[in-house]
Amino acid sequence: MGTAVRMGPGYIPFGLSFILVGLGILSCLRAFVVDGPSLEAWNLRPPIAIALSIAFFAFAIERLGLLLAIFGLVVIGSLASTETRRWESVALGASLALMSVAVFVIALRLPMQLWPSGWF
Amino acid sequence: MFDVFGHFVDGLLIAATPMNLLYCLIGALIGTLIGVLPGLGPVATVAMLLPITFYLPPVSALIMLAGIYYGAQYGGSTTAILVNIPGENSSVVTCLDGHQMARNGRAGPALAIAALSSLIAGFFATFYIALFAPPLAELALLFGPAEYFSLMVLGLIAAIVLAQGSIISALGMIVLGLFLSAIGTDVNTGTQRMTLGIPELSDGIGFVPLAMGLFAIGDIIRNLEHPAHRVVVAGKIQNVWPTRDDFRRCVGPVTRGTVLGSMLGILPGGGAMLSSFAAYALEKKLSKEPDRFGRGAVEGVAAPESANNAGAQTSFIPLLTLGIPANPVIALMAGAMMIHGIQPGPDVMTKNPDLFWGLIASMLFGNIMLVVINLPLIQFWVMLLKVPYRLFYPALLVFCCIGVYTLNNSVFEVALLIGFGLLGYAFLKLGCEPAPLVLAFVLGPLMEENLRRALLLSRGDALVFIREPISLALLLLAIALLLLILLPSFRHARGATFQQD
Repeated sequence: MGTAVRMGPGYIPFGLSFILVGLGILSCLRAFVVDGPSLEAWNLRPPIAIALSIAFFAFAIERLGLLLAIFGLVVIGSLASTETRRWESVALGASLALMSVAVFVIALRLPMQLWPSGWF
Repeated sequence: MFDVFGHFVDGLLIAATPMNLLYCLIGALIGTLIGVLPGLGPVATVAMLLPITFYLPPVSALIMLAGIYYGAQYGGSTTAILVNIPGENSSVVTCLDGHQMARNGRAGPALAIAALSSLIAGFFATFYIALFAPPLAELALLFGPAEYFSLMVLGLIAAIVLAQGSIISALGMIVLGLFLSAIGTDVNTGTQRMTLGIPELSDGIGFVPLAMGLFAIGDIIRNLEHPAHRVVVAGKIQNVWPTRDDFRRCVGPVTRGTVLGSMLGILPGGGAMLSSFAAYALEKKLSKEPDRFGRGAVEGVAAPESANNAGAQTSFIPLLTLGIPANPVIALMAGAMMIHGIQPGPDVMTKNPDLFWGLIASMLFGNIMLVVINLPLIQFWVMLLKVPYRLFYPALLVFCCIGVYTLNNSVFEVALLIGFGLLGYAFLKLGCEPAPLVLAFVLGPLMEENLRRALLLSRGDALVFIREPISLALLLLAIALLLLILLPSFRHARGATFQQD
């Protein structure tokens, strides 16, 4: 922790957290006094689908390779929108996977694994 | 004076190398593209492109990113005029009169006036930066740790003025940003702070996943929640050239818009959006026929369009001279500079003159390119508006994921991206703007360092911030600003400004 002259590593985070708690309390108290706009309804479909799709990418990139990781990312991510058609997202996933290989691996020469490990 | 001229010519030579011209063009093209597309703004785009800048020389990277920012101001007006949806926050007011002009069959002249006003403002702003930045940087070199700390406090307070919603929430976002920036290894002692024993966190939270998550992913989720159907109103655009009467009417508004935008751009918290709102309000007040506004007045297009471009460019001044980013886009550029190991601030001009002058001079080329990109190719951009969002956002997801992953080949950072994406969405949902958080995250380490140094020099006497005259003035200014926001009348005006959003 330390003193103001010789601040330890925890000095500033400690102070900041107190300020944050104070602001939180203020914000809560204010909610009793002021009538704010009512909260919007939560539509959980987009956040869950997007989070899952990125999680799949994180899981797949070093195990299944770039092509499958992108394909899965796009197909799962497409579920976030209610307007998506099935064949459309598959085609989009395939073409985006090929395009990413062309741009990132061939053109920019980033070292990335293309296929599931152990295939080639 | 001649010194500035000489440096500026050097800068022109740097910006005119084929590679830098190419990146300037790429930046201008991307800027126009995202400006045209509603739902994708410069903040999200610059956040997504941060990983790519890692592979470029710093000058080219910044030239490209800057092109995106002011390019978006050009593109945003196209959507505003043709579709009545602001492609960009800063072109919200352009909708009012620009779209009316399009409805009256004058879409062509409206687009031309928007592009030409932006061009004039862009030229003026470029020279304004060249003349104004060096003396400011010299002044900043006199600053000690106490002054710097107070300056950053002022910058952060100013960011609240522009944030929408509750002031307490905005303050909370700033503190949270500072807190997040403290994660990692402590510079002075080498101790791990709040890393929870996760080795990937010992370098702190990555700027790229943070910015990309909060702005890009959060925005995508938000847009998916409210599917908007866009209808392009104008079909073919004929006779682009404005009439002589249009030109005559625009001289005053463009001049005033440019000057106003250049001044507001420098303010911490200022930038394109504030400038365009202010310029429109000013013209409406000065006009002899205020009734014409909102019914297709050409002045109502010229003034905000010149102001937003001038504001976008001059908001580089505080970054390049003081190291204080004025708005989130500029904060991301500060991040890009830091990725390259360049500390934004008064030293940039002396230590990296190529970067400083090359960037400024590139704005001249960029503005010319933008007029060429925008006017003759207008049909192409209109066509792009018809691409539905469901086909478009997966590509953004791919770009974000690959970008974050390849930066450090780290799966952990992709996981951070998910976390900050959900956080960004929740913030938007709850009416807390992420912009102050990102500004605070960028400034956090500098603030802590200067605070510690100032207190070390004064032997722990906190009054040092009040004893130094410059520091005192800056702090008083910050307090005055805070009081101003709390004043009921100003609060009302601030609310009204954002009401049009």
